[in-house]
Amino acid sequence: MLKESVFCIRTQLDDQSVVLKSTKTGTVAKLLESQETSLKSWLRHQDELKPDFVDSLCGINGILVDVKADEFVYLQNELLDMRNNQARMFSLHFEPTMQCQLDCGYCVEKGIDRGSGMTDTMFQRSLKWFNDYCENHPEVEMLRLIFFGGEPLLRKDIVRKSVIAYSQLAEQRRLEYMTEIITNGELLTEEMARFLSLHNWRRIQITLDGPSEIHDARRHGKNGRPTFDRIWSNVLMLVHSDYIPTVDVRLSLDEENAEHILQLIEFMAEARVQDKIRLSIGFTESSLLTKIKEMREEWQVEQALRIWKCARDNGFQIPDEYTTGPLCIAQAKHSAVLQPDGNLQKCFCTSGLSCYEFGDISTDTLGYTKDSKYENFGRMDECVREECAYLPICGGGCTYHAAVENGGTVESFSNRHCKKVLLHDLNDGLLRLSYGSKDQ
Amino acid sequence: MRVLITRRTVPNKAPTDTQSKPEVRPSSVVLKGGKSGVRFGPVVTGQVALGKDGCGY
Repeated sequence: MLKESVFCIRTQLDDQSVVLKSTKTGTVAKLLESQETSLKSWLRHQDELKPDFVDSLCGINGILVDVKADEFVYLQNELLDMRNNQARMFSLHFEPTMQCQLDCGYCVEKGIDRGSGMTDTMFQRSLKWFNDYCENHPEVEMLRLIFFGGEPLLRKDIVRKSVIAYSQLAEQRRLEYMTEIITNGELLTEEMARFLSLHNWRRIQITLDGPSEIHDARRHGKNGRPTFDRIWSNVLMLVHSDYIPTVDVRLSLDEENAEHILQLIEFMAEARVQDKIRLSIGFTESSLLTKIKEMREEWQVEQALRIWKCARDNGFQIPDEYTTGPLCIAQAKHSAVLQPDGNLQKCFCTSGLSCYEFGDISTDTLGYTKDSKYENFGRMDECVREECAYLPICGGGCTYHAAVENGGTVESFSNRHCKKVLLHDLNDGLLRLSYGSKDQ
Repeated sequence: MRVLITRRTVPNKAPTDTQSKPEVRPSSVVLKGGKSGVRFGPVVTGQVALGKDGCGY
């Protein structure tokens, strides 16, 4: 006997068809309304003739599941097993410096002590620490070295020696290795791009907040120095070369710039960069140190869908789903944010805030890179009680923002960060944009 | 601006997806096949699912 999965969501299209999607497996199926009616009828009377498409919705596709399946128990067990027993990758967010030449008003790091760059002593110590960690964890098969900051390219010297040393260490330990960088893009040079491309460069993320005058009003240097032209020139350098397959352009979004993002998309489309730019939207939110005006989820959905429709109509790839989990970098078993002073955090959002450190590279990280603040998986229990269909793509939401909302205490990290309205409405809209008619 | 096009010594490719690949052929109703296991997150795919991810960075 079969039933519809608890993780099946439904979207009505305007051509008398519906999309059924499993948030668990990612399956997307499009049925005529008449087919959906026959499916519902058959699910009530399964001794009758089975519609011919039913089998394709079962098994690994997971739209229909065994009627006895306890899907939430299975999902929770699977998440924990994946996290605890099947982690093979070490994600190291490496912060050469916490300094930044920009002065963005909404920066999550605004207000922290930015200190000085990583010393060579600390850098050498970090190599030993990582080597020892791998010695103790032979299950680690892959190293992602992700440069973060501050602005990592303020210290190109540290970036260079880190890439060389960590990639060599990975080779010695027979680990797969990849380089990534999160940068404001202003200091990127072709020489640096060429260097990174020689070391399995997989990803770069650069943020643009709108066309030049809007971007420069928000992501400016000290004393208001404009940055857009230089950053865009560097993006074009990447797009017109072969150093990296795609450039991730992050669009920060709030009430200040929402009206102008469409102009930026049209500007980028005119430059014919659609094939090499991958867009993403980041809603600006309050941090532990900076309170900003919160945006209603309904407003966020409306703006995001307007942007994705514009992006689609201008030839950019758009996502067909929006997720907020379930297992983020901070919750991963083998992961750390390595600060310039050698202290370790699990989430880059708390970089520079010493009260959230879980260890340092001079002392044993005891077993694995553990910070119990990020291991409160019971925060999903309420979602299970509510039988939330979005749990496979949420997992209780962002731990950091749960802490921001609840005062930043150790206990506050055990709260969930429910964004059900955003998940429902944005996924509904993205399915319509991706699988409906062009008028959707 | 003049931009050199170079060859990489190590070929770049999409981040490794350690998930099983879709096994079910799209039928007349299935537009996109499903995957087993946990689909998202750095623990699994080595990427933060950019463009689809609520993470603020």
